[in-house]
Amino acid sequence: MAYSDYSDGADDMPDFHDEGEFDDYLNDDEYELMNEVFPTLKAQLQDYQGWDNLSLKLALFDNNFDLESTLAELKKTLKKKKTPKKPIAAANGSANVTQKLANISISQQRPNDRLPDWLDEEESEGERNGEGANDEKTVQRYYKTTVPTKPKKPHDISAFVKSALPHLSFVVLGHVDAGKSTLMGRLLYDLNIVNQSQLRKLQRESETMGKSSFKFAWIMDQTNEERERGVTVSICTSHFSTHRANFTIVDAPGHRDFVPNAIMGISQADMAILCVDCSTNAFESGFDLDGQTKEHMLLASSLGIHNLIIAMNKMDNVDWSQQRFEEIKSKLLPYLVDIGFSEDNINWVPISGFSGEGVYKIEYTDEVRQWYNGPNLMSTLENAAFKISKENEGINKDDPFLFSVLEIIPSKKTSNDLALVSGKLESGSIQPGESLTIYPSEQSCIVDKIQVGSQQGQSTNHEETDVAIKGDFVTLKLRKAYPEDIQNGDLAASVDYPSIHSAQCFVLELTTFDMNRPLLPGTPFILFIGVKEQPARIKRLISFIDKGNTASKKKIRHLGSKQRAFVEIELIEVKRWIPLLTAHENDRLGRVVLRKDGRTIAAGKISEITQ
Amino acid sequence: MKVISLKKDSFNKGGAVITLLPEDKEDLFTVYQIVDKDDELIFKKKFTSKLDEAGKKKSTDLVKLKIKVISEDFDMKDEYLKYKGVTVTDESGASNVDIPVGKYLSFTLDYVYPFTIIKQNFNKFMQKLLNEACNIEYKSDTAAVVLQEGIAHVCLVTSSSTILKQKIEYSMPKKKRTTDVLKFDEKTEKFYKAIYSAMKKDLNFDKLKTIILCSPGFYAKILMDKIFQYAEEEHNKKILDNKGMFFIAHCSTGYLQGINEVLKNPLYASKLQDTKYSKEIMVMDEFLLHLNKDDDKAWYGEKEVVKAAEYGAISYLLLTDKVLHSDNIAQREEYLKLMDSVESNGGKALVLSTLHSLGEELDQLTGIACILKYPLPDLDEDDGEE
Repeated sequence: MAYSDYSDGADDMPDFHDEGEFDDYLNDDEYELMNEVFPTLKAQLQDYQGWDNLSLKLALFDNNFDLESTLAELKKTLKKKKTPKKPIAAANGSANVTQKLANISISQQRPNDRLPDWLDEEESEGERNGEGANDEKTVQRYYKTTVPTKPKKPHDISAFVKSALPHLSFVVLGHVDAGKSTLMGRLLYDLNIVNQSQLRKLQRESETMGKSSFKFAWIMDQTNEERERGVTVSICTSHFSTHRANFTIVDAPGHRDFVPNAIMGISQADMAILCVDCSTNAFESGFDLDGQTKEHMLLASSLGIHNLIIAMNKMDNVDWSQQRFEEIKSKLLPYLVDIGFSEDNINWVPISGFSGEGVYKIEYTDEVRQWYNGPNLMSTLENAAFKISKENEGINKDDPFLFSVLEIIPSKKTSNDLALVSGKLESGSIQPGESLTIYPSEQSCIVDKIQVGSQQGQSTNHEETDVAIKGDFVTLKLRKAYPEDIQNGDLAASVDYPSIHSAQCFVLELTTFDMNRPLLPGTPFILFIGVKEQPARIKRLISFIDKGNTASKKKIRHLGSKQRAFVEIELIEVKRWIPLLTAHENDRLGRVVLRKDGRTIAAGKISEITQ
Repeated sequence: MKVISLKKDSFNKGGAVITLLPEDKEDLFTVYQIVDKDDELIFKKKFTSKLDEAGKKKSTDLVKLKIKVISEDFDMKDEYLKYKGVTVTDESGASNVDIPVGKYLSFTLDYVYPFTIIKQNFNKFMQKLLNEACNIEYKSDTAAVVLQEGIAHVCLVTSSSTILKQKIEYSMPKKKRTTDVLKFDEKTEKFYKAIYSAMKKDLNFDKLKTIILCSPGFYAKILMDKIFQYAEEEHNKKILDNKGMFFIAHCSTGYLQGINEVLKNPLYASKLQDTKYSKEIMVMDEFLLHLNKDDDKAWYGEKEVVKAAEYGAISYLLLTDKVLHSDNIAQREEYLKLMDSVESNGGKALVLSTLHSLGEELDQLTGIACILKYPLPDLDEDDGEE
């Protein structure tokens, strides 16, 4: 930076970042003058604090290098250093404090101290704070309000609910290779969301890898890992509409290693389709102890799903045999009822995902019609959508707005306060202009726009909507937000909703399943809550729950299989607390699942948030 | 650890003067468990003193000091052990020359100068710790990388601790029908690269015997391929020469719990050396198994365990280092006696380090537990009371 650049800029000085920059700014004469007076000034100010070399030089420059006037000016603005305190007697118990005090005092009395300065140690106190602080909770305060704002264009919610098409989200579950992804691919193909030429391309690709039967599945499974290994890994969400209802489908992995992802899928869905491979012996192998059929159903039931469709898949492999259909049904139904499903809420539909019969467009053959006269899969889904939206109608109006964040969409513009978050409305409704608070960061934002993702043909169109209601999957454009402190699994609620607490410990009403090791205070496990997973451990076993649903007086020393108890849980990693709601506040969000060593060991409802 | 001298006090039973040179972080933990408040330490330390009035001449001297311990500060992760204390008179006159009594000083252990511990209550357990610390065979470090999609932990598993060296967390893009697969692959690549760099930075390949890569699904396998690929690209000899050290295992989660899952899996037992820690995991698992069977052969809690010991029924006594190093001297003595009585009745006593998750688990579980030789029901019943 050359001086001449500023010669005509009157007396405006640029901002300097450091001493060196300022030195460069001075011309040669000034520089020499500065070096003459600066050391004297510095020496004079030894007893003052709050200055640095740059500020001194600037002050000198302002006062035309006049030492006396600069000194007078600076002495007015700067504070004198505190006078040292008397050292405290050494035999004091609080070693830490005393030593620090002693340190200060002695270093300042140094000139008079004839003894060697023993306390002038090589290492400083603050030397090792670098990495140890990793696990501490980071608290960042944001603007938080409790005063709601009015929507831009207010809509009457109940009228809107009546006029809108019902919306249903469903998750596809089942044992590995039961044909979940293929079924979903078939559905999207029948709906013309995937067209003929795209499918032909997938067919070519799958044939070159020797996996031609995977062509439909690859509509959903796109990553190399998934295609090479022929298994779904992550959940995949798609949206589609028929003229009777809107749908969101979540394709879940069946492999046991990816059950955590399946749990995320289940927690986003209103209902579940269980895909069953009806081929000879295939159902049986998925239904035994280690198969995922049972575990998936247990998870669905534990996480608050009440409605089921059983897609009896690959019926073409057993010649659409009614006998096989009934055989599987008779084995599966008692189990489903046992874990809490009601027989009335289960629909059984024979299909073939690969050939398409019974899914949507391709009708059943007459042979099948002889023994099955129910609706095909799509009609069953539409019926379920109606049923569930009917259930919602009554309760929609006064419910608080609750929204679980599934994804933060990275924004290209990082400098402003906009955030794009997609997720699911768990309760209530939202309109542009209204405010919400995101937990655990507790930042209040204003909803600017609401986008609904729907897939028409090849591309995803983002349409804007004026209202979103419970069950909808939307993307919210938020203003006044700090996207860097929003994470998947965060919760948002209307600003005047008081019940969300960020915490590390909470009490669960826990039901254990088959376990081969008991739960004890200190037992670690992985806790699943909504789309979040967190390592956690048992902090305290409180009491058993007896048949009357009350706390039992029986002594509780450990918790074995198939027992119910109140248990306090503690998160192991406390860097960021998680937002919690009791099951009483919201049935779905207050539910959790516990897994350990790759098995689902227990499920629970949050009954109290302790801290 | 090098024990340079160990002199038992002939007058005071339990007194001892030990001169040691710690050699690695395991030794620091051993020292940490041996030195208590009010023990005396003699050590050498460098001091910078300013002797003349102007404060210009600096001289750095190595001086011998003797302090009485007041507090300690220990961090395994940073290999850091520091004692604070106050200077005391040294009868021999060899240390604390020119230093008044009652000055506060601190002593950070290093691996350069030996130091001396003067203890009044040196016991069998401490003797055992010293013996183990001097035995090289106990020292084999295992590294473990446990991962799942988007999350990885790079750890060091030593006989007394699990040290999390680095946690790597990437938020992966959510899969949608329209997801850009290229972007996803790019992010995945970055994730593996980050693990690789973390391993290079945090692991000392010369000192390791095994590196466990474990994950659900196929992530560990991919990671191993990637590690070798990256190592080839940059001709990293240290990794390429040690290919045999890498070992893939399956676990259900990418969190730290996954490591214990691997260590207790009998499938891998032959590949992993029979480390002290894996033995502890097996015993703890047996304890849990008995509890699950409700066969009255496993108990926890001080009262119950003491009772069981009175019957001479304990086959395994489990304690944490914390209870043996607690400030409550009376309780500590109690536990040492308990260990003696168990061992004299043919049982075994295991001290679990709370620097491992297992010890932490036991610590939550009152810090004391036992497995019995035969069932003893109702040990938790109060005698007469209530």
